[in-house]
Amino acid sequence: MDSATVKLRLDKVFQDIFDDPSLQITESTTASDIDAWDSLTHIDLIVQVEKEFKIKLSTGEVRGLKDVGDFMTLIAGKAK
Amino acid sequence: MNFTSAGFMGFLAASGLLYAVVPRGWRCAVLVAASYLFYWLCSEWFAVLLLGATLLAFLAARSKSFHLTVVGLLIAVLVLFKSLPLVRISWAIPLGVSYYTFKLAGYLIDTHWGVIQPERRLMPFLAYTAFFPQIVGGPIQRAESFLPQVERADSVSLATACSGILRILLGFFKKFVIADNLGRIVDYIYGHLSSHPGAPVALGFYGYPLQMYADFSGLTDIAVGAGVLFGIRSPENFNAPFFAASPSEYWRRWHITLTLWMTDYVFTPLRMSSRNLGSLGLVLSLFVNMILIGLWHGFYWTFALFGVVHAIYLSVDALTQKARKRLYKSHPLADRITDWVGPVVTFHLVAVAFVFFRAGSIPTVRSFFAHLFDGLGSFSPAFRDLIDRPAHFFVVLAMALVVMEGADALRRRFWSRTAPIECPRWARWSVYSCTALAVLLTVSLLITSNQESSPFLYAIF
Repeated sequence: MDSATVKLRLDKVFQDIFDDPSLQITESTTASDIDAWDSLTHIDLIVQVEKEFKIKLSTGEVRGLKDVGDFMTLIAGKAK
Repeated sequence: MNFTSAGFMGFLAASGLLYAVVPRGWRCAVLVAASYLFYWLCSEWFAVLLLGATLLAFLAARSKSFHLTVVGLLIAVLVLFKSLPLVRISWAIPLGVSYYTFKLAGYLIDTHWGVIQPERRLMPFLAYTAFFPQIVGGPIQRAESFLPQVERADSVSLATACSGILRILLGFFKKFVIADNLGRIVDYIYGHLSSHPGAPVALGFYGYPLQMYADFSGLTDIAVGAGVLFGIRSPENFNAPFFAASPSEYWRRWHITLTLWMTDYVFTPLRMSSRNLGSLGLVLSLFVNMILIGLWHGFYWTFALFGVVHAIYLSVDALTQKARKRLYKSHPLADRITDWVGPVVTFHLVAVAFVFFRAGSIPTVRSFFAHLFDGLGSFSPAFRDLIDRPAHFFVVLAMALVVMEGADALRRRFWSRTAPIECPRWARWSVYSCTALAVLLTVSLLITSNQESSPFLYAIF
């Protein structure tokens, strides 16, 4: 899956999870850039991403994510 | 060797000076030698355990099949030592066993997950686990943050050394002026619950969280300040926790490195395993995580209940978060009121949990809450013997708390700056001179004072 498609669909997931239709993420976005993004909402985000892209993420893969760019790369590699 | 002793200050000065004068290639070896010498002076033959655990983890990191087995072994050894107080053998607990176990376990798990590559060089790895400023009570620094710094072995400028020394002196202030004095009141209150307390029990309710904060953040200040003298920037452990507007925010501001460690290696794996259970999975993960945090302090029911109480707070916080967010969106006034009321409510919730933490037994917890409003309005002669001139004492303590918060606020604003503040030479040298005088005064007081400071509360965990 190309990165543009991943970004488009990931934007929507972030907007749903953080209940903010105007939220726009970039590759360098991290948890410290979004107020409500903490360890509790992080897993909600993971679950929603797994449903949206029909993929399965492991704890190790989640632990290794430093920013949204890493997330997009991971999703693009796993999603068909 | 107590962190607030003249002996420690002498040791720190000698090792810091040696680090500064040796060639860059020798600095890591100096750090390892100083750390193991410190450990030997404090804990003698347990230095062999520290070395053995470090070598085991260093070698195990090279083979994925050993990672989790060695993590299990390290945790089992930690649990064994934590169990010793149950059979009244508290004296046999190695110094810092929790902190270096967490460092090694986190390193192996991260290597297992591919987050970091195994460290190839032994000396930096030895420095990582034994680093003496951090071994007594943290902060729990990650390998990926520490190892590059010790390998670079940066020179430490006079300005940087001065900032480290000032940070250490702040820690001394918090410990001697605030923590130890609040501790005398808190100990008196908890020791006189069943009889007429002779002082407001509420002093213990409000005093203990403040004592704990001053004590533990003071320990962190000394650890972080000492680390700077060796070119190591340590992570922070506190970020104005009593200004948190909710229990979840409190845990992002209190003992930050432990919260992050537990989040990465306990909560997140549990939550990932239970993610298909929805809210039930979330609540179960929170309860397991917080009870483990409680029990890490000691295998007593009161510590477990401390964890349960916080798990209840966090569960309610998490389960009502979306509803509260919708309320604040439609009622901005409610949002603004929460900004003021939230920290007050959160502080009281935290203070309730701290009663379980401090009490030591369930009957004491019951007795404390039963007598919470006793003793208001007067001080007994016994209490007046404890603190001469109570009105004067509390005014000075209140001023010290304001100084502590002010200093912490300044620290949060300026500490993370990497560029030095531009000052004229006379201003810089004024600061250096005043710092030197403050150090001389502190050492003189330590040597001449008859009173020894009590051990840091978190050094025993």
